[in-house]
Amino acid sequence: MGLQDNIREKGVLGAVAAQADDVFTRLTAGIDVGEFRRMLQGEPPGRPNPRLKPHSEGFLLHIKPTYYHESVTRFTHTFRLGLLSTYLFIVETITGILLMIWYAPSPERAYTDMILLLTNIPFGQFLRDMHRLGAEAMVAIVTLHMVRCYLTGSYKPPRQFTWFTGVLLLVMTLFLSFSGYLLPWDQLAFWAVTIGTSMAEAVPPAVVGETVNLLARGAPDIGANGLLRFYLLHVLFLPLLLILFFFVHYYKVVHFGISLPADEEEVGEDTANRVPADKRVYYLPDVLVDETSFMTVINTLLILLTVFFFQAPLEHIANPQSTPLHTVAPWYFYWLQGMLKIADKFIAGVLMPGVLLVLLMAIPYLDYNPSRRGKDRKVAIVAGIVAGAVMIILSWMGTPEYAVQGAPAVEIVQDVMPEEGSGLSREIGYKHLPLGIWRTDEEYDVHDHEFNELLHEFNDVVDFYRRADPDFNAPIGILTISQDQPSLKRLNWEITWFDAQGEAGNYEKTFWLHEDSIYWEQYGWKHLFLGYVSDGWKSLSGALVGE
Amino acid sequence: MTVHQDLRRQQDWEVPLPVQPGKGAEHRETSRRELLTYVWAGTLAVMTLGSGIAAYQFLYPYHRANTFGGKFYIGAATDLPLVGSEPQANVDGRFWLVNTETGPRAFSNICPRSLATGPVKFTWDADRNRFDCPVCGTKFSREGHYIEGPAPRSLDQFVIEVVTGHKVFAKTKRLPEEIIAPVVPSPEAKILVDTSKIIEGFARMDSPALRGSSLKVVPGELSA
Repeated sequence: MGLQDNIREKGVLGAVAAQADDVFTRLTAGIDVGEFRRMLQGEPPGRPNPRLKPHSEGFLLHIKPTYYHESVTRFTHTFRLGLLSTYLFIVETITGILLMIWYAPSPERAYTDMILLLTNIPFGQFLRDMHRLGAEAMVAIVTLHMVRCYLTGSYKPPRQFTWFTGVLLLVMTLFLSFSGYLLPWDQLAFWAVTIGTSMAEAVPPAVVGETVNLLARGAPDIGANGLLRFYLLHVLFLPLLLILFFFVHYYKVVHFGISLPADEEEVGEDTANRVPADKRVYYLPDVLVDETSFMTVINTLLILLTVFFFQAPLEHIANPQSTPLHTVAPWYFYWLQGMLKIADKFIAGVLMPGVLLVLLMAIPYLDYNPSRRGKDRKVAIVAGIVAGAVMIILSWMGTPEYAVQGAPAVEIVQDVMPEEGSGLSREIGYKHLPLGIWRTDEEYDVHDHEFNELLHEFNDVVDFYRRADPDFNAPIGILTISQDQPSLKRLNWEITWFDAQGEAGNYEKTFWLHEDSIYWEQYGWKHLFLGYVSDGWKSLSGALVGE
Repeated sequence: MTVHQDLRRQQDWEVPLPVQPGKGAEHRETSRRELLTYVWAGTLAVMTLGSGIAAYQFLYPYHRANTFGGKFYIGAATDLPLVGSEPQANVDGRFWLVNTETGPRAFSNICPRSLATGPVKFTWDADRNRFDCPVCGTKFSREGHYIEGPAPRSLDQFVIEVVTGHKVFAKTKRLPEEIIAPVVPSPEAKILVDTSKIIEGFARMDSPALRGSSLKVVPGELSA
């Protein structure tokens, strides 16, 4: 009906209300205000169900199923892990795009940009921490998602290909996370990626391995070209590929439906798509409200974790001339590093991961057992648990705990003040490090609780190696803290000992710590919220009054 | 509980439905379910708004220290030119740093007259102890006050911050009658010139150094 007719019939206010209702209906692709409120009030839909319209006419919901089986909407069936992975991918995309604003992928600038981001940009550190935490959480959640599907046998027919694309998504998640590793251009980044890419070198024959490596690094060594290539992989190529496979994966999920709990259907049957009318839970409004409220809680949790409990590490600027002690891969590749310690580069670095990947993808095609019930799948479940245990053991072998122990004195200093990363000394911070000479063979009456903790740790670790190593007798640790310059303290760690033959040994290592160093201690909620919010308010209110 | 579970329960208990489906919901009171949904939606909206404000701050351009538009670190108070000595030119910061009897001041080195036509920089005339604009010929005193010439006002000043410890102790302030230079409490206090904040000089009629006192208007008289 035309506007003029409307006004004639309903008056101006009535016409405006009708127009508003019309706009609302268009925006929601078919739900008017009355229906919207009836939906929120928990009333049943009319017939035909008007709430199906947004699925058929709107773009955003066309991929979502119109209803679910009641049993799969139970939280403990899926734990919403797939939704959570998608959510984390969106978080990564948003924080990633924002981080790109203050970042240029060149060795001359990348590290300085990181420092500026951490020190000069409001919410810079917050976004970086959240991006990093989100990336690691995504790896974990995607893996858990896979474990859940394995344990419930959800990969069985007809969902073999869904599982296959899921494994591809896991691989892409790992590569996405790993390719982002190089971008800060610090020691952590440089050496993790150097090790990672050199694994590709083990692909036989040698010429192939070398070529793969050259293509990845853009040069024999990682430099400007390598950084640019990893950057493009990270921000463009891998995300696009992941989005493509995500839609393939999700289309399959919707197409076949989420598998029901195994006890609810006959062995060999798949009734996920034949939902009896009384078991239907419609997406609008129940599942939608459920999912958004779940996301709100998760979002809050992610923000709290980022602010209070997580700090993305930033080590010294990349130095190709010096490999730091205890260089490790990211935790999700510890298992690979563990294998590399005990086996040949080709076997551990290429063959085994390759075989593992193919096996993982082929599980649904190899497993001929038609039953998804736990009691019929003892072999599969035990095999899965054994595989998980092996991964955990290999991962432990990947840590410096296993077979990378240096001399006791070196390890002691590495423990209290590592070459890279924070360690207890840097964590307690500049102002908790009183000047003086502190020896492990003497007792001190120190009132500073934090420094006391450091002295105890120093004592304990010296004592640990005294007991563990017969060549390390009567050790004394001496920490000398002096003020070298204003705002700069010098920490000199000295360890003396006698070996089994009674010969004296001595080891010294010196670090400097600046008053403004940003380690955990300097980074609290007070700084983040009160500081930034008040600054932000000042600048905003200033802008509003035209200052 | 989902809508459908709710309905089924009602059917099981043979409770009559409160209303016919699809009719008249908009005229009834807000139910608990509806209210809860609004609370969720409100929480999401607040989160989105918060993210928007954070993103605005994150995107807002910043100026690095010691580049024009940012803060210039002059050093400790002892690094200031002595009171009565020649002004120091800071080319990058586009200001003249002067230590006057009333305190340190940083004058924008652009003549107020030429702002309309382009950034012409005035110079220091050591012989006559004043600033001269080489283009329009306006003269200003060491304190930045207008003396004579076509410029419309006294020299513009950047805000100087005096920092003790980690706190701003004092900074240049504009009062109705004059621009107050910050107090320097101790020789160790750090001096910063914030080139993002400029205070315009007073109109030439208000200048205490004005030639021809007949034109001079005592500030405050007009308003009084």
